[in-house]
Amino acid sequence: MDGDVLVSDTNFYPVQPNTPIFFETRIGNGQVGGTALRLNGSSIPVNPTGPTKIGQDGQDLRRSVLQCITTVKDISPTTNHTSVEHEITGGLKAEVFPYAIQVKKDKGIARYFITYVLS
Amino acid sequence: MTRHQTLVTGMLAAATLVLAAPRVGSGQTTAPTLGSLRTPPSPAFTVLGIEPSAVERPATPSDVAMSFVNKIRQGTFPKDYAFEASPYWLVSQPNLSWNSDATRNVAESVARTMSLSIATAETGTTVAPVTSLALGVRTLLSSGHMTASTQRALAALEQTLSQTGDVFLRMVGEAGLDALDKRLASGEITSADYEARKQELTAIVLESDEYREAMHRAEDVAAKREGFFFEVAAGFVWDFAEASWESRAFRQRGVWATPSYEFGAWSLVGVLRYLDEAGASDEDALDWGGRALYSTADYALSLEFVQRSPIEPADAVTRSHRFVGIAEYRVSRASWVIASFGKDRQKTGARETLIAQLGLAFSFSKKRYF
Repeated sequence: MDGDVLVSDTNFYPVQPNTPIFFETRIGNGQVGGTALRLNGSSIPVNPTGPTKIGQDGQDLRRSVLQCITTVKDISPTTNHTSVEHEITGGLKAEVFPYAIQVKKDKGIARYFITYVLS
Repeated sequence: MTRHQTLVTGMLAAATLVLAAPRVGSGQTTAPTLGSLRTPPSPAFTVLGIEPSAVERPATPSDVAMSFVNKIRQGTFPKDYAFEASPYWLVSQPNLSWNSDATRNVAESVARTMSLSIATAETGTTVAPVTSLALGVRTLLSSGHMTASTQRALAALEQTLSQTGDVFLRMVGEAGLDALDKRLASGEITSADYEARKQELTAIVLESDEYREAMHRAEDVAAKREGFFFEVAAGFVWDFAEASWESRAFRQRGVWATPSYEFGAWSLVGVLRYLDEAGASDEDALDWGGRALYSTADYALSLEFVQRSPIEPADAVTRSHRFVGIAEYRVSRASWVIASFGKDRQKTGARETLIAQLGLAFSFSKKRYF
């Protein structure tokens, strides 16, 4: 759509056997956004205010694919910058995946469509 | 002030002048507009007395650098240049969520609202050319808080955007991404090949009617703040005769302080304004006063009082005040009838002080008052 931008990326995140992980999104620049998650094709309810548990206790997440889309809407009259940080914890080490992009015009949408391959 | 707001202000003044009736006295200026007590949006332009046709408003530090480089290439001293920027917003602020911006302490308010303006203009004559340089700064020491209704609307928008994300992931999965995920996880395809195919599927889903319909639910939210605001601004002008640095001379300065309190339909605005010209001048003045405003979507009522005093006894400005009532009524989506009545301050060399005007204003801004 006019003024919208897309960030698409694929990352690998090493998990521990039979252990769930936790996923959290932070949206910067005073903008508003929402995140949706799917693990191996199944939707996961997202906790908008903190970490979301991915997988169940004892579930082996290796060779799983976590799809994430964070949709950010520009509501700020002072900037068209948008930024997103995805933080994953519970694996071999905690990792933060930072992304940023400017929407092309006021009130535009930035979509961060990120794939995490759990290895 | 945005460019269209500047346009609206100009149209308001022009329309009031043309349509003013009945009019008593010949020495009056236009009726005070609702923005007359506000801190100037770009102090550098105000003290220089110009409304530039084009203002550079860079979004990133590299834009700033390019703006200056381009101007310097045109000569050693740019002759007509207007620039305005908010340093805080030139760079990305990844740690600033909208929730954390609902309230601000003084330091946060200053950083997030400060803007700098620079302008140059030719103010001399062909025989005696003068290039003037103005610098201005404005900021809010206090910027109120986000209204409860705005916070509710933003929280609802977050939820809607999450739901659109669910729709998107479902659709892109059904379009073939789920199958592609399995091949990626098993190592059948590289991540580069996966990304290429993923982006093709993404483009298809983004153009689909179902996804577009879902996105229509994500309506715009105009974030509104209320409470106590305290805005300060200052502007300074120097003249450079014949574009010579050695001939520079300080010409004028202005300082504004504007406290205000906004709650619901009410706005209370105070003003303290100091204008000083270097050298021989008879217009140096200190203004103080305030306005009470009640506004709805269809009408507005306000009372304004401003006291003007000379800075020094030698100044020609006489101590006088202005006390004006203004009523506005919306006659169509973008036009308002304005009636004002009251006493204007005593102008130098003029006797008349009555304000009685009727005007028509056009506003294409969603925000009525600015």
